[in-house]
Parts: sequence; structure tokens; C-alpha cells
Amino acid sequence: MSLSDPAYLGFFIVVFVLFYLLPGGTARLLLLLAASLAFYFNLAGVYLAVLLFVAAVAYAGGLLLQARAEKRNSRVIFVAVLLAVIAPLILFKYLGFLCDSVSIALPESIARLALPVGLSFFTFAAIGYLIDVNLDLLKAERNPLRVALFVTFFPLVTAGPIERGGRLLPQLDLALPLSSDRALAGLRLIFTGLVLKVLFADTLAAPVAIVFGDPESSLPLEKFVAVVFFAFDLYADFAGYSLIAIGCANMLGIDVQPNFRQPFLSPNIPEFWRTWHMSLSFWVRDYLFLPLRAQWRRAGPKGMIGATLLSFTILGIWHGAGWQFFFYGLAFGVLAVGSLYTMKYRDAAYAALGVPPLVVRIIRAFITFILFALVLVLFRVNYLRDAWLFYRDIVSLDMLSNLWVTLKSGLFHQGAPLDLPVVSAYWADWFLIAAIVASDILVRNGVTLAKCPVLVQAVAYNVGLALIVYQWMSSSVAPPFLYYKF
Amino acid sequence: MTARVAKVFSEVLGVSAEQISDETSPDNTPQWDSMAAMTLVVAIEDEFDVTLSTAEIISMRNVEIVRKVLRTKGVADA
Repeated sequence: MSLSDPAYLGFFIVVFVLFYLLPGGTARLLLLLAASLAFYFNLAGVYLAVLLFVAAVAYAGGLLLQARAEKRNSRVIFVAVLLAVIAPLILFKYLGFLCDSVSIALPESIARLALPVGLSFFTFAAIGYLIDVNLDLLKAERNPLRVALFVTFFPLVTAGPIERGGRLLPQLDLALPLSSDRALAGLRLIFTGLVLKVLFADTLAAPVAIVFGDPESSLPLEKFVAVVFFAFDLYADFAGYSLIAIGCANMLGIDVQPNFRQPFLSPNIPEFWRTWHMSLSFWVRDYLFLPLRAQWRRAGPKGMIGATLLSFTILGIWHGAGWQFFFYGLAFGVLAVGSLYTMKYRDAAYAALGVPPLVVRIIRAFITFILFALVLVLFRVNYLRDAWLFYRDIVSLDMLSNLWVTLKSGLFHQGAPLDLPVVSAYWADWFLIAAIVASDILVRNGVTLAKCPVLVQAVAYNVGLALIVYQWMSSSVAPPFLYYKF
Repeated sequence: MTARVAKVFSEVLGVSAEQISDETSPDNTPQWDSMAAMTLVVAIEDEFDVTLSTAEIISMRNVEIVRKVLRTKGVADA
């Protein structure tokens, strides 16, 4: 039951109605906890035990870290608690890869273990909570039900946003009365999320699957188009998921941090990561980058470069066990360092050339997007070898030749067009991409649907809803969100 | 807010001392990015002649916390 599935929406409506029928406090807490466990059991079956284990370690670990009477053994306790909470992640996600890398055969019972959905997300939420308690930034929560709900809360458990204990736990009094404003704001987010997922992401996913499924059979230009499509597919998919999750939480009176803020308008890679999957990148910043940077603070640029490369590499490996994810993270680290240390020279070059600020902004956003989309190939492929096929073709002379022949035949009607089945069959997808970019520009400038005249809103919501229902009816199974596999 | 604390933050972040308050944090001050964060730590250590632990540095998520940490280290005018 994915968050974009009609069945999930039915489930949510039942929870929503019951929630506001119950008095605030423990009754609502128990309802949300029961709903969260039932939701996860429906998705992951017996792997619910893993979720409960992580919640139990977060609860007991938090109390243990707070209760330490003296600091002498605190580091040992902290490391032991962290190892306990991270153990399922190692076992289910990384052990197979680590053993493969050193040619150790795992027992079949372990090798066959599936990855519990959302494991990386709820484990990181629990780790953040334990670190905050260890640093005395947060008091350990004494009510086990509240910690359990913090870790298992159903809108967030499968793919985040990765919430902080300091933000979520104080909201779990759950005493707020039903507010039509908040419910409406939540509904708007859910609607926008569904539009992004069902109408945009699931449509863009089709040509992407064709080219990435068989990279040897496609021409360089098709590969490049698939790379661009995939960047927007992933954005619409994950931002769509995030909006549905945040909207559901809002309707239950819980504010959740945003996960995206028009990332494709970012002028450089460091800024990009402050607007893309923000809950993860801020987590990495606070719990990895800053400690490393603090350790190496007097090492000058070397400290900065080392902390950046290591943090991004770990961010890459967070996504999965495989060399492609290692290089995915490392590539962003290299690009971030390059961006930081060349920024003033690039600024000076644009100023010397007299390029207008708006043009500079557009050029920078375009370059940042292309760099992101190219690195994202590593995220999408199953094997490094496939990524090589993409990079080899995209920077080849054949790519230029493909472009030239296509432009010549398309724009100037000279010569026969190339046979590019993916490009020609999915040309309309470019309108979806244009719509995403236009909408992000409008939102960045403060223009949202909620601020439009009522008639415009009514048309947009009705047409959007009709298209979503049509899509639901024409496909038997709702495609899962791309980030469910983490 | 003491003038000494405000001066360090103002110099490193490039904002006027009047703009620095206990609530000033990376969330509301774009200049307080990850690069500036450590420049800030080094400047604080040098100005107040203290050594901050990694845990203290990570915990310093706004000016109020920085002042609290400095006071626990015996800096009276923090």
C-alpha cells in the first residue's frame, strides 16, 4: 500500500476521522501507533519486528544515555547504543555487499533476507534522536508510546522526511482540535503530491525504464534524454511522496519539515543539496559533516575538503550497498568542493564579462542541473558497467552527430530524421518537464495555487483530480515510490 | 548579548552586530553556512581563549547555546 494508492487514502480517511472523534492525548497516541504498526505490517509483514526493535533501542538507549550518572562510561554506552540501533541496517542492507567484496559466502538464510521498507529512514531518525540525547540537546522521552510513534509514524516511516526528535516528540501531545485551515492546507499538499507522482513521475518513468533497462540498444541522444527525464522523474516521484507524507501529518496536527525547495533552480551543487532531500542532507550536515569538520577545524582547506568528501560519500552509501552509490556520493563531494573553491573566480569571470545577474542565474541553474542529472545515472543503474555506457555515449562525438541530424531534420527539414523511438514516442513528456520548471519558478516567487482566484483553483483541482482518478482506473497497481527501496 | 560575542559573530558572518541575537542560527542566517560555522568556532576559541569539544561544537545551533557553552567554560562576559 503505497502513499499514492487509493487504498492508502481510504485508510488515511478512516484514521483521520477516528483521530478527531477521540479526545487528545493517550487515546489518539494509541490510535496513531496502532495505525502505524498496521500500515507497516501491511507493507512489510514480519519485518515489522525490525521496526519495533529500532523503536525499542531508541527508547531504551535514550533513557540509558540520559541516566548515566557519570561521564566516565558514557562513550562506551553511546557506542553500544549506536551499534545496537544500526545493527539491522548493517545486517539487511550492507552485510551481503561487504561479504561479497571480500568473497565470504553468507548462509542462505541471511542472504535471502529482504530489505525492510524504510529501514534507512527510520534508523536515521532513531540515530539522530540518540545523538541529540547524548549531546544533551534533547531530554530522553520517558513515554515508550511516544518514542514508538516517533519512529513508526505511518506517513513518514517508508521514506521520510527524516524527522528530528526535538521537532516531532513535542508535537505528540496530539491535543489540537480539528482545524479547517490546517486540514485544507494538508489536503492541498496531498493533492499536489498526487499530481506530481501519478501524473508526472509515473509518466516520465516509462521512457526512463526503456533506456535504462537496455542501455546498449539506445543511441547517445536517447540516453541523454533519458538522463534528463530521470532527474525530473525522481524529483516528481520523491517530492510528490514527501508532499503526501507532510500533508497527511499536517491533517493530524503534526508539522513535518519540508524535503524539497525548488532544487532545480539552485545555482550550485552545495545550494542544490540544501534544497534536495533536505531532511537527509541536513541530517548528514548535523551528524556527520559538522563533527568531522569540528575535528579538523584547524586543518584549513584540507579539513573542509576531507569532511565534505567523506560526508557526501556516506550520503551516497546511505542509498545502498554498491560501488555505484559510493561513486554517486563521492562525485557530489568532488563537485561540492569544486564549487566552493571556484566560486569567487567564477563570480569574477561573470562580472568581468558583464553578464546580467538573471542570465548568470539561469546559466548556473542549468549547469547545476546537468551535473546533477549526469551523476544521477549512478543512482539509477544496477551496475557500474551500465553507467559507463551512458557516460561514454553522452560525451561521444556520436552524441553531437545525433543532435545535429535531429536538429537539422526537425527544425530545417533537411535530411532524414534519426530513428529515435524513445525520443519520438515520448516528445510530449517535455511539456511535463516545462510545467515542473514553470511551477517551481512561480512558487519560488510566491505564486501558489492557494493564492490564485477561486475559479482558477476550482478548475485546477477538478481537472487534476479527474486525471488522477483516470490514471488510477487505467492502471491495476500503483507504481511504488522510487525511494521505497531505501 | 555581550558586545564581545556580537563582535565575533558579526565579523565572521559579515552582518551588523545589531542583527546578532540569541536566536541567530544557521536556519535564519544564510551567512552561517557550513564553511562559516567552523570559521566561527575557530574565531570563538581564539577570542575567548577556550578549546571547544566536538560535542560542544555540534551542539552550538544558535547564539544562545554558544553563550551558554562559553559561560560553562568560565567566560564571564559571554
